Amino acid sequence: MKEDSARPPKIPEWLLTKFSYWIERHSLIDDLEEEYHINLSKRGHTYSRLWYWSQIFRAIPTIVSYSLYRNAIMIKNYALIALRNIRKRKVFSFINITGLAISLSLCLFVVKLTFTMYSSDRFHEKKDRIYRVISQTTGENDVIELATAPLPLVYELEQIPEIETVVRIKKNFGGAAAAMKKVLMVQGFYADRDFFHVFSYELEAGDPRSALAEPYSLVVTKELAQKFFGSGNSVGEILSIQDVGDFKITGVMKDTSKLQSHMRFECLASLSTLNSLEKQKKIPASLENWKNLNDNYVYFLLRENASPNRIEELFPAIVKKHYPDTKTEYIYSLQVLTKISPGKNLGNWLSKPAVSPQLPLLLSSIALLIMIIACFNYTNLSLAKALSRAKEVGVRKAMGANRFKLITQFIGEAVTYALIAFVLALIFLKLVIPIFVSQMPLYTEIESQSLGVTLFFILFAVFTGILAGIIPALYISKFNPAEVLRDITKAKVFSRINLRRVLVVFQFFISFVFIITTIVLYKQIRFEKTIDTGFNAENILNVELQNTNYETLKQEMSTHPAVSRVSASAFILCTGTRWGTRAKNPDASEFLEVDFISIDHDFIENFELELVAGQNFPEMPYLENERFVILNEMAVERFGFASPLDAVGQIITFKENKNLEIIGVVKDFLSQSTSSPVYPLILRVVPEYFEYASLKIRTDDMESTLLFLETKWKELEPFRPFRYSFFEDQLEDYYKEVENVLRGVSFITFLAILIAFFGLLGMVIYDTEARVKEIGIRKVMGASVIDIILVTSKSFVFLLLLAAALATPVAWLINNLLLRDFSNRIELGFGIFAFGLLMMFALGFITIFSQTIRAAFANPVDSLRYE
Amino acid sequence: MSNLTKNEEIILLSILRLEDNAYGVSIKNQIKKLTDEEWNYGLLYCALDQLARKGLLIKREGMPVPKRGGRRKIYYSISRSGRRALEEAYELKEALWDGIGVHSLKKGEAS
Repeated sequence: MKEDSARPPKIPEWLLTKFSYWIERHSLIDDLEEEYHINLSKRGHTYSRLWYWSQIFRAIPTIVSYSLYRNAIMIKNYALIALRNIRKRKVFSFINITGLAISLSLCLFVVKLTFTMYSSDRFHEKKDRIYRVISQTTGENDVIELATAPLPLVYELEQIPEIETVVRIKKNFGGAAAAMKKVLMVQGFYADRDFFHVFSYELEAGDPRSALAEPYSLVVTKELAQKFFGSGNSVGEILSIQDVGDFKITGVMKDTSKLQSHMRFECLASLSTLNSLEKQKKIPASLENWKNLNDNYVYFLLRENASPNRIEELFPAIVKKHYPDTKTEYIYSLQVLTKISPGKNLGNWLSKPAVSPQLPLLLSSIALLIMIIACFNYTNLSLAKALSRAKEVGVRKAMGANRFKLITQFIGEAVTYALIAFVLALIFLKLVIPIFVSQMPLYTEIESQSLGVTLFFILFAVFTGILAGIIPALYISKFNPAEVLRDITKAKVFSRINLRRVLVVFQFFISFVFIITTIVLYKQIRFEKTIDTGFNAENILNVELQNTNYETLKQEMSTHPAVSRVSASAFILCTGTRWGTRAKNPDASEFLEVDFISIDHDFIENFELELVAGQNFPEMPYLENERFVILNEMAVERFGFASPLDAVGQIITFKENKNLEIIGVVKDFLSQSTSSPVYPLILRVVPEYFEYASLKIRTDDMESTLLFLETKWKELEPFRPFRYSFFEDQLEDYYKEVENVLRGVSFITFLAILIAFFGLLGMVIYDTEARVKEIGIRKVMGASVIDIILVTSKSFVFLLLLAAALATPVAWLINNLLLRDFSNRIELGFGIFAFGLLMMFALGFITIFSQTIRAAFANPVDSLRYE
Repeated sequence: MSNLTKNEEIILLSILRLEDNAYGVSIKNQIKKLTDEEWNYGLLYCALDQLARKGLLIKREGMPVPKRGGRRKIYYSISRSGRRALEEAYELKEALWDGIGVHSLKKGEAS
C-alpha cells in the first residue's frame, strides 16, 4: 500500500503522453510527480491522488488543442514548400501533374470497373455453397456449352444427401402486365419456393418461405411494385400477364438495383405455376423433359463442408439412366456462384453474358502502359533537370545528409506530385472520362465508390509516385559532393543520357502502336459501312411481330398508300443473327450445316435480291405443305451442283425428313453481318418462324404514316407496344459496339499521344535551354537559322524515327490479329503506316520546332553577354 | 516584433524573477504567487513551447536528478529577444497609461 502510494497513478500519466507530442512531456510529468510528493507528505494519500487526476484532466484539453494547432502549422509549411517548388518549376510541374493525373484517372477507372465486375453475386451470404449445374452437349460435329440444365434433374439432386436445397429457375416469364388500369411490359423468372432461402434477396413484405409456394404467386421488386401501385401496399393485389394468367402478389423485394448479379429480374413467379401452364399447352414442356435445355436453370445449396466433386461424380450415372439412346452426348458439371461472372462464356445465359476474365486484364495492361508513359515523363524530366539539383545535393551531403535521406527526399517529392495529380485525377474521373465511355454497356453498371476502392486509389497514387521517382532519386543522390561543388561541368551528369533516350523511344513506340490501331479500326468501320451487302435496305421499316398474325397485319398495313410492299422474315439481315439447319443433296450421305432464313414471297422483291436462276416462291396463300426452297450461289456450290441453272429443279433433303425442290437461286448477299462472310444459305417459307414484317414505305409525310401504322397496330394488339425501326437505323446501331471499341481506343490513343508529346515538349525545352550558349556561339560563327534548327532538332527527330521503326512490326502484328475477326476486312497496307507516321511526325515537328525555332531566332548577344 | 500576450508576459516575468531556478514547478508557483491564479500544467507547457519557438526563451538542461529517474530538469531563461519583448511591453504600457493614472478611472466612475 505504501509502495503503491509512493508513485503517482499510472493511467493519467499514460493518457497524457498520448497527446503531448509537441511539448516537453517528460519534464511535465516529472514536475507533476514532484508536486505529488510534496502533497503526499503534507495532505496524505487520497488528496494527492485526486489532485494528480484533476491536474491531468485540466491539462489535456489545452494540450490537445495546442497539438492540433501545431500540426496544422506543420502541414501548412510542407504544402507551402511543395507549392513553391511547383510554381518555381512551371514547365516541369505542368507536364508531370497533367500527365500523371490523366493516366491516374484512367487507371482509377479501370480499377473501379474491375471492382464492379468482381462484386457480381458477392452479396449472397451462402455464395460459396451455391452451385449451378451447367451442361455440355456434343453433337455430330459441334460441342455446345450451356448455362442451362434440364428441370427433371431436380428429382435426382434431391436424393443426394450432401445437397441441402435445390432451386429451379426458368427464364422468359413476363409480357404485357396489367393492373390498376396500367399496362407495362415486365420480365422475370419462374423460381422454386426455396429461392429466398438460397439467394440473399430480402423481402420487404411477404413471407420468404412461402411466397413462391402456391401456383400463380408472384414476388415483385420494389421498383415494379411502385410502378403499378405507387407507394401503397401491393401484397394481395392481382397482376394479369397476357397469355400467361392472373398472378397474386405474395411478396415485395427490397431495392435490388444496387445489387450486382448475373440474374436480373423484375418479378419472380412460382415455378409450381408451370404445371398448369404446361397442361394448358401455353408453354412447351420442360418440367419432365430431359432434353429441354433452352431456358431452364438448376441451382442448389451444398451442405456445409460437403465436396462438390462428389456430386459431379454422380452425373455420368444420371445421364446414363435418363438418356438411354441418344446420339447427342450430355455432360453435366458444376459452377460455383462466384465463378459465374467473370467466368466462362456459356450459351443460354440467364440475364446477360458472363464478363470474360480477360477483360479486366486487358484493360489494366492498357491503363498501366499509359501510366508508365506518364511515369517516364517524370523520370525523364527529372533526369534532364538533375544538373540543377546537383549543387543542392552537394551542399546537403557536405552538411551530413546520407544517401538514404536524399533518396527519401526525392521519392517524397515525386509522391507529392503524384498525390496532387491524384486529386486532379478524381476530378477527371468524375467529369471527363464519362464523356468518352458512358456509351459502353459496362459503364452503366459501375457502382459508387466504396472505402476499399478509395484506399486502393490512394495506395496506387503513392505507388505511382515511387515508380516515377525511384530512378532520378537513385541517380541524383549518387552525385559526389566534392566533385559537384568544385566544378559542376566535370560531374558525370550526362552518363544517363542513353536511359533518357530509351524512355522516349519507348513512349513513342507505344503511341505509334495506338495510332495505327485507331486508324485501322476507323478505316475498318468506314469500309464496312460502305460495303455492298447485296440487298437494298432503303426505305424499309421493320416491325416486330410479337406473335401477331402476319397475314392480318400485312393486309391492314398495306391499306396505306405509302406502303408499297410488305414482306416477312425470321430475322433482320446484317444485325448479327444467324440461323442454321442441316440439309443434303439426296445422293450425299452426310448432312451439311447451312444457314437458313424463313421469308415470304415478297421478301426477295422488297430487298431487291437478284435471282440468277429459276424464279421466286409462288404467290400467297401459303401452301400448307412447304414445297420449295431458294438457295444462294454459295449453297449451290456447297451442295455440289455444277451451276445455279443445274440446281433449279433439284431436290434438297432436310434433317427433319423433308424433301423440298429448288425453285430458284439468288445472288450471294450478306446475311449475318458486314464483318462476317457470305455463308451457304437456304431461303424457305416457314410462317411459324416469322418475327418481323418489313414495310417498304415511300412518303414525304413519314409522321402521319407512322401514326396510321400505330393505330392499325393498336387495333390488332391493344396490349402490346408498337415496336418498329428503320432498317437503315438498325444497321447503324449494329456498328455501335465496334464504334464503342473505336471510341475507347481513340480516347486512349489520344491520352497516350498527349502525355508522350508533353514529355517531348519538356525535353526539348530543357535541351534548348541547356544549349542556349552553344546556339549563340554557332550563330556568331555564321550558322543560319536553318542550320540551328537542324542541329537542335536532329536528335529528337531521330528518336521519333527509331520509335516508329521499332513499332511498325508490332503494330502490324497486333492489327493483323485484330482484323482476323472481320471476314470483310481492309488491307493492312503501307498507306496506313505512312499516314500514322505522318500524324506522329506532324505533331512531333510542331512540338520540337516550337522550341528550336525560338532558340534559333534568339539574339546571340543575350546569351553570350556575360562570357 | 509582435506584441506579447498577457499570459506570455506573466510567464516571462515569472522566469525573470526566478533567475536561475526557473523550471516547471517553480514557474507555476511563481505565477500563483504573482497573480493568485492556479495554472494547469497543460497551459504552462504549451505556452513555454510557444515562447521557445518564438525564440523568447532559452531551454537548458540541469544536472541529472536521481528523483527524476536520472533525467535532467529543463530550466528556462529569457533570451535577448525575450528581454527586448518585455522592454517593449513595458514601454507600450507606459505609453498607454501616460498622463492618465488610475485615479482618472475613479473620476469616470463618479460622474
